[in-house]
Amino acid sequence: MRRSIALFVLAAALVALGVWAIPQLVIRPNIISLQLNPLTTAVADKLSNNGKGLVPGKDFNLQTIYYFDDNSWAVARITPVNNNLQASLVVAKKVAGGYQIVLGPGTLFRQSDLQKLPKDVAAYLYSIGAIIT
Amino acid sequence: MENETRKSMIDQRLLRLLLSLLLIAFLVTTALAFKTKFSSGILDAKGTSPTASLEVAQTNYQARVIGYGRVSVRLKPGSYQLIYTENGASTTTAFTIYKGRTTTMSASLSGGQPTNTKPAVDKIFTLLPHYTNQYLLYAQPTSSGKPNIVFYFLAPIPVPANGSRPSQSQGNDLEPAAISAAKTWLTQNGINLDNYTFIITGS
Repeated sequence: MRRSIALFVLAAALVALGVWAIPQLVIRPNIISLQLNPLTTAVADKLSNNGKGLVPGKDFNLQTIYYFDDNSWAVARITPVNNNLQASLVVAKKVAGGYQIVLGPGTLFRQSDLQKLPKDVAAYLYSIGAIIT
Repeated sequence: MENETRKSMIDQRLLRLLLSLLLIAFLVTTALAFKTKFSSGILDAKGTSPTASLEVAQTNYQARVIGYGRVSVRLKPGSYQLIYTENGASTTTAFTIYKGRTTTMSASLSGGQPTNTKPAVDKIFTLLPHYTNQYLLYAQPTSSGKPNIVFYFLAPIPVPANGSRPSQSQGNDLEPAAISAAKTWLTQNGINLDNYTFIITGS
């Protein structure tokens, strides 16, 4: 019986070593995965209506993201992947590690909307013609 | 005696079962490892400086530092950007990862598109709109790249001392002076009017 247990422990150790070592040997170099941008998550939440979620990459892409004031503000362009959405802009503010959509989605904003934005963000929106003058 | 034999048989069965489970775990892990290997590709990135950081970014995903100088990582197939940062300056180069293939990238500050975390905004857009009681100035981006500065004359017709309404010509007389004042204001604020199209309009 003792011999059986010793053999079992040896076999178990070898198998456990194999379970650990095989991926290290086969998957070389290490695989890295990227995390979804918190801004993308905020936009997906904002765009989702009636509990029907929109999937980044499948329904829309977030492109031309510009960050302002040490990443505390961001302006991004929403590009639809299919025809369910319109191309638009969003302005987001960093709140507790994530982003909160402050303005948009929209293609044009009013001057009165700019009061809640920092000057550099407002100037950028002016420069791309997103403000009704 | 019979009981001991039975107990020993049960113990041996238990050990065999545990060993079988471990072997299954081993086989599953190995199969998954090979699946990952054959469904991914390798990025072999090298920067001109050994201390420069190399980051990988993808649309909708957060950029991630993969290392410094020279790095080799495995990625899922798809389109990515390699961000090379050296002494505070960055460049971005697009690359694609294919299944089971190695993509080799040489990154340098001169070899990619400058990375913008903040767009270059023409000063005119931070300065305008500006208005007085005579005119409103605002900026308009154009597709040609030369923005418009729009002068909007508000025609504040002053009421003469005798109380009679001034003629339209008196209002028009004020316009050149207002345009001149607007141009002076722009020049004083460091705007070179040669770089813009000055458009005059009004009510």
